[in-house]
Amino acid sequence: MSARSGGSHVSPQLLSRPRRAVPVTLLGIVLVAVGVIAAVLGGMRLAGNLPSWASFLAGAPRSAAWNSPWGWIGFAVVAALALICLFAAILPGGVGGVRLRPGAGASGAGGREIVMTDADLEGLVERSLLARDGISRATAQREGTRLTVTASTTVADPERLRETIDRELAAKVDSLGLETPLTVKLRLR
Amino acid sequence: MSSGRMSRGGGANRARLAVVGVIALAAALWFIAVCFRLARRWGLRAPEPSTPVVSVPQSWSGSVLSWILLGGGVVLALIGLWWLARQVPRSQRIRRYGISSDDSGRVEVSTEALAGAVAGEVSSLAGVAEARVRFFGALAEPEMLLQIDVEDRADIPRILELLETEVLPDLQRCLGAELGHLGVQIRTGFHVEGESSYVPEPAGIEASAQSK
Repeated sequence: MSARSGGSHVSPQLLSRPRRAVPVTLLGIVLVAVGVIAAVLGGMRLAGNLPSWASFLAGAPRSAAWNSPWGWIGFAVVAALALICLFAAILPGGVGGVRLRPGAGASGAGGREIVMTDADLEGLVERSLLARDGISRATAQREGTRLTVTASTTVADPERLRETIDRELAAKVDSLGLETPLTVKLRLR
Repeated sequence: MSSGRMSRGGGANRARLAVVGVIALAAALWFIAVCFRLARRWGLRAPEPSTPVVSVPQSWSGSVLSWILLGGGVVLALIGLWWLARQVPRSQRIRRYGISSDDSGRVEVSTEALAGAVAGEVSSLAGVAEARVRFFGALAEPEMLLQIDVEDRADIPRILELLETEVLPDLQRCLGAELGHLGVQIRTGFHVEGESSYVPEPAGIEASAQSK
């Protein structure tokens, strides 16, 4: 947001990049499962009675050579895990919404974070188009600072509508008071 | 961009994923280096590709291995549980603000009551269908999250202006403190109660025209 939203705050941020909670939760579950199995095995081994399911681990997978099918299966699993974790850690992910300018007359104190999710913005644009005469279908999608709107018309020559719809869409998006203006790209069919 | 606690949780998760990813990548590269005898060619001590991947030293075959399994398993499970616990969102929501405190007593205001008053005032603005409010922080630096459901024709900049010039001054006067942070989420596609949303079908229009 603008400089007005600077500084830390305890309330949740409304627009933020993905927290990666799902991959970390899955990793946590895997760690707990592997840890519990290892601890149970160790404990039962100390007590002198290995469970029957442990014989599988002591069999083929344990004695498998590096250059064997089991070895390559293990390699594939570890390599996939590495790629998934590294991509999830490096790729920033989208914020899923746009920021709006604070209302006129906002006082100088305190930060402001005024947002609208992509779903709300796209829905608003789609509905405003559908309410217009001559439009039978409309979809909108924001990516970065570009809003791509695809609309199907019921008129024989869609080009006749283009200029009016283009102007209306630009005015609609402008009227929201977005902090970073969006470039509207219209595709008429 | 402001730095809330949520974003700090995201940073920690990325660090966890990066650590696991680097370890897994190193293991995968070591596997390739062993299988294609690259490690030996580079002068590293590496096993033969035909030897077992899991080779437990003879001296470990007794209770040492069992203790390693037990200890390592407990450590892994604890790390996993800690990671899982960190994924549960912690609410910093506050239930009441202490307005004043002296020998005669303490005056508190319920944030639920405040939220109701603010939501009511915001809901009365033109084009607003509903509003929800939550408070955070402390009276020294109160924070507020506001969700405003608006109809599609609403003048959003005007709503935000009225929020700043009418609603927030009232709230800040009541609290005796300026808001440290305000988060507003605007949701679209709602209908304001009492307004007609009926749009006649084209067939209905034709029928009524014929009847005339």
